[in-house]
Formats: sequence, C-alpha cells, structure tokens
Amino acid sequence: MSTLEQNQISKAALTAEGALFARYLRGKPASQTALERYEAGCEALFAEPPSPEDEAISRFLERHPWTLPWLDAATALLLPQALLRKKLLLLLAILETLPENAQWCEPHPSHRALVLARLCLWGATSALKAAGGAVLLPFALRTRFVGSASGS
Amino acid sequence: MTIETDAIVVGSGASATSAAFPLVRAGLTVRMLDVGNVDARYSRLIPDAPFSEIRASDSAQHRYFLGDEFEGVPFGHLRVGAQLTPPRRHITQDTDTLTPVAADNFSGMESLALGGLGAGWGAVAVQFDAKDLEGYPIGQADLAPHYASVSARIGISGERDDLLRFYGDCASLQPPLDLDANAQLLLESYARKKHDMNRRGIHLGRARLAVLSKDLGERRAQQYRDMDFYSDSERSVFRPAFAVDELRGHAKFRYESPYLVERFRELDGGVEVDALHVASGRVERLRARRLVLAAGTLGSARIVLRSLDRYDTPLPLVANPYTYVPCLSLGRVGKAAPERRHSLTQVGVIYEPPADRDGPFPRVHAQAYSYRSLLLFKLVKEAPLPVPSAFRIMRELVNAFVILGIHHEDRPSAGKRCVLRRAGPGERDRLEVTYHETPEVEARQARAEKGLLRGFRNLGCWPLKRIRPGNGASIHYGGTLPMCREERELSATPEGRLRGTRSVFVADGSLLPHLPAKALTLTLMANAERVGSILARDLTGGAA
Repeated sequence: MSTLEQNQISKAALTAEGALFARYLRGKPASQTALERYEAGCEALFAEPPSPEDEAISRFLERHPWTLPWLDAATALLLPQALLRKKLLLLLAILETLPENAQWCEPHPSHRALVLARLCLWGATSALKAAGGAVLLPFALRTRFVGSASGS
Repeated sequence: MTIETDAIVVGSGASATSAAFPLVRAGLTVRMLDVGNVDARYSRLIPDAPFSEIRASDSAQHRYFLGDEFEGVPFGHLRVGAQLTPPRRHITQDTDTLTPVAADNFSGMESLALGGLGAGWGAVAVQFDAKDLEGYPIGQADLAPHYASVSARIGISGERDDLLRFYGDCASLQPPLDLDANAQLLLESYARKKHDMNRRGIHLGRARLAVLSKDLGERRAQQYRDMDFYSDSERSVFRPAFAVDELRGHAKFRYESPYLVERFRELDGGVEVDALHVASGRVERLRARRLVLAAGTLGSARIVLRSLDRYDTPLPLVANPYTYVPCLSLGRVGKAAPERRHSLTQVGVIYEPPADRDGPFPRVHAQAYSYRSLLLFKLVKEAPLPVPSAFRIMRELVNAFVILGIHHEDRPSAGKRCVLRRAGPGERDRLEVTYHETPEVEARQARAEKGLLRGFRNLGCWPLKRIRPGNGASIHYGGTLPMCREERELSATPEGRLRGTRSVFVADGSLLPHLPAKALTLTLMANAERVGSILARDLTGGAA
C-alpha cells in the first residue's frame, strides 16, 4: 500500500472517530469545520505512535462504538492520561471555540435546588458508567494481546 | 579609553525598565539589550470586544484561544505557565534553546520576550512591609520613595481597606476596579464575620492591581471585557513593554534587539559585554561605564557565573511555594454572572495564623479569582468524570467557582540551589536547579493552608481540591545573588553592586535574600529603581 493510500485511510479513520466523538459530546453530528480542526489537532498533538494500551482501546472502540461512554468513564478514573480522554478533550476544546456553540457553553441560571439535583443525577450516572466501564476496560485492553498473537 | 555609553541594561522586564528610568532621567546614555520576542501572530486577530461577544461571533477565535498548533490545549500534569494562553506563549519562546534549565523537580520559567515575564504578569502590586523586609539589608524607608514613584508611573488601583496595613499606601492610588459577583459575595460575607475572621488571622480586601481604573497618559481605564489573559488592547494592565515605549522617548536611550548578553568582563573605567545577536549568530562586544543586570533571577545568575568562570558553583535560590484551590461559592450556585468583568484577581487575602505548639507561622498571601475566559475544557480535564458529564457539571458551576491562589514565603536552605554546567560541543551552558524543601516546612505550609481553607468554608466558599502545581510554579524567583551587608562572594552590596566587581550592578529578583509570601513584582520594580538611582548619582558625580 502506498504512503498516499495509507494517509487517506488514516484521515478517513480520524474523520470517523471525530464524528463519533462529536455525537457523544454534543449529541449531534459535527460540522465539517470541527472535523477538519480535529484532524489538524490530532496531527499536531498526537504525532507519536500510540501506546499499546491506547491502540487497544482505539481498536476496541472501532469495533464497538457503543462502549464509548463506558470506556470514557472508566479511563477518567483509571487511566486519566489515556489517549481516548485526550482526544475527547481536544474535540471539546474545538467545539467550545465554534461560534455556533457559544450558547451551549453558557451556564443556564436556575434554582439552586434544581442545579444540585442535576449534579446528583450526573454524578450517579457517571458512577454507573464508570462501574460498567471498569468491567469493559480489561476486555478492551486485551484486544492488543489478541492482536499481537494474530500478528497484526 | 573612551566609553560613550554610560550604562548597558540587560533585559526589558519590570526590573530592567525600572532601573533604566532614573538613568535616562539623569541625562545618561543608556543602551537596553534584549532578545525582545513579541507575539506577531495572535494579538492582531483579537477583536476589541467582550469575551461573550467574541465567543458568539468570531469565527477565528479558535486561533487565539487554542493556538494554530493547538498549543493552548495543555495535556499532562499541571506545570508552570499552565495559564499562558497562545497570545502569551511568546513569553517563553526560545528559552529551551537559548537559556536551558535542567531540573527534575523545579519548573524554572524564564523569558526572552519584550517586557520579560512581566508580559504575563497577573498585576498584583503590593508593597513589602517591615515584617516582610526582616533580614534584608534595606528597610521600608529605603524603598518608600521608589514605591511611590513606581506606583505613580505604572498606575495602581485599589482600596484603603483592611489590607491597607499589609499592602501599604500610595498617594497616587486609583479607585478600585469593579468587583465581580463572586468577589462581592465573598467580601459581604467577610464584612459580616469580620471579627471571627480576624481572630483566626484572616484579613480580606479588594485586590491591589497595576490596572487602571482611570485613564493614565495614553493608557485607557479597564474596559471589563474579560479578555485580560489574551489581549492588552486598551493597555489598562501595566506591561513593562509600555515602559520601554516611554523610555524610547528619551533621546539618550536606545533599545537594541535581538541581543542575548552572555558574559561581561571589567575594563579600566568600565565593562565590556559579549552579546549574541540572536538573528545572525554573531557575538558583538559592547562597552559601557556600568552594567546593570536585570535579566531575571535565573538569567542574571547565569551571566554572572559564566563571566566569573564559576561553573559548578552553587548559588542559593528561593521561589514562593504555590498552591491553588478551586472553591465553590455556595451562594452563587445557579446564579447568572454579570457580563462586565475583568479576568484578574478580585480579592486579596492575608493570613497570619495564630502560633501553635511548634511556634509562629509565617504569613501567607492569597488571591481569589473567578473563572471564565480560560474556557471550560481546562476545568473538564481536571475532573475524573466522563467528559460530557464533567462538561455539564462545570458549565453549571462555573459562575460559582472561586479559585484561590495561595503563596507561602521562601527562605534559602541547603536543598535549594542552582549551578551552571559548562556546555558540551554545540550546546549551550545549562543551569541546573535543585529544589528540596524540608518536610517540616512543607508540613507547616499544609497546616497553614488548612487553617485558611477552614476560614473560607466559614465564608461560604467550599474548597474542592488542593492542587500543588510543583516547585517553581509561582514564577516568583529570587535570592541567587542576595544583597547583604557582610562581605561574601557571589553576593551584592545593599546598593546592588556585585561584590568583586567595580562596574557591575544587579537590579532584579536575584538581590532579594528571601521571598515573603506577598507578590514581589512591585518590590522588584521599586528596588530596581533604587539601584538605578544610586547608579545615576554615581555616574553623574552626585548631581542626579
């Protein structure tokens, strides 16, 4: 496979990854601008080859995109320096600096009790996701051994 | 030998410019040598508009908020300069290659920018009082006229409130800046519980800042756009680069860049410096009757050690230990925040904890900030939660966050030093920094912090997490060439003359023998002006 073809494949993979992450973060598809910036950001910040753990998580996510919320929650607690988390934060930064998202980033004043109730709800769902993710994470990390054993 | 230049001043930061003023005012010929990096990329992109307007309308905002190379998206553990936004990144540009520092446990930030580290100064401008100056060979009376003169020149705003006896007074004090909602609530709560707070040793007041609340010369009063971490457009926050502009108005002053002064040697009747012209790589020899080193605490130490061939000789080093604590102001949860605000510190705190069984505690100085314009993703990064949940939580709470930055005093000890190591072929000399505080001192600092945070809880501000970003993170350094009365090698006289030399003066943080907890920049400027005044009198035969 030529370098050009390899580049096109990795570009397509990054675009797909960015689209998945944007739907997860924003709840709707990303704009073309956001995806282009995500690609540029990944090239600027994550030029080094990923660690075996990061590679494994990435491959697992490609095959099972529905596990993203669970793996995000688990890595936040157990692997805070994981590439997955860094990439999510990069895309969040990009989304935050798009004018169309300015309103989305603004706090919405409301009654203190309501705010506290929302915080409790988000905290509880985060804890549940982290628990589920902690079960999934070893499977995701095992992908690298399976991958290595099959010579890929 | 005829030497036409009266003084060469090295650097262009807060100290260098303050030392230069008395020299040029005395009619002396002054050359300021500086690398002088500037931000040529981002500042021109930033509209003169409030933060929220920019957020909603400027399609190029990602460039100055995140950086073209995404340099404003920091990953990894927090280190020094985490709040250096892309338009401020030029402050540390080229230091890795031109002035390398090696340290395992110390983040030594230097600057080769026009205005030096002052280009990113948080603008807290308070005086040292008699207690802070204990152990210095100079007293308040020596600094008082220079505090007054520097304050009038740079413009300081603040209130004569509970902190007046700690911060000192000045006749030119401008009215305080408007408070934001978090600070207003905090100070109201303090006013109600003042007796109890003072009994605990906690004193609060309005921030004392080198920020204009009224126009001063060509500089405009603060416009409350909340863009102070990115832009200096109205020039309300003082930057030493403005002082360079003012100095350029004097006929006998010359600002010359890009020069990195590497070493000096004394001559009959003067001094000669080797200055690397950074753009061409050639070394030029320049002469003057006197040399004023104001390249920063680490920079001046490097020049002195190299010039005196004192490689591998340790110098003392002090740096204010720093902790920051995000707190939640419960009374502000769910409330809107007024659009009109500035980004800098809002409230000053002095904490003098009552003595315990181990004796008295040193004084602590803290500042309270609100959080908004540094963007939410930096807060999200710190939360051990899934990114969307962390984002929603931070967005919900951001208006109620009070960030408390706590500084402790620092005194020299055997574990804190810097050493210049000779370069190998094709390399540059490396300044090696070692910084180890004793466990006893660290434990005392932690206890003092706990006491202060208990008081803040009582004011309705709940601390969430204590974060120590690491040694050197305060970017307050000093003590490498301390001024003292006794004859000691690699020290300075109380007048700022480097011992063992006739013509070399030091005028930056290197001179301060220890660092009290208070922000040091105003004292650096006042002391540099004092040294410059002494030198001006010396060069004019007492006429200045």
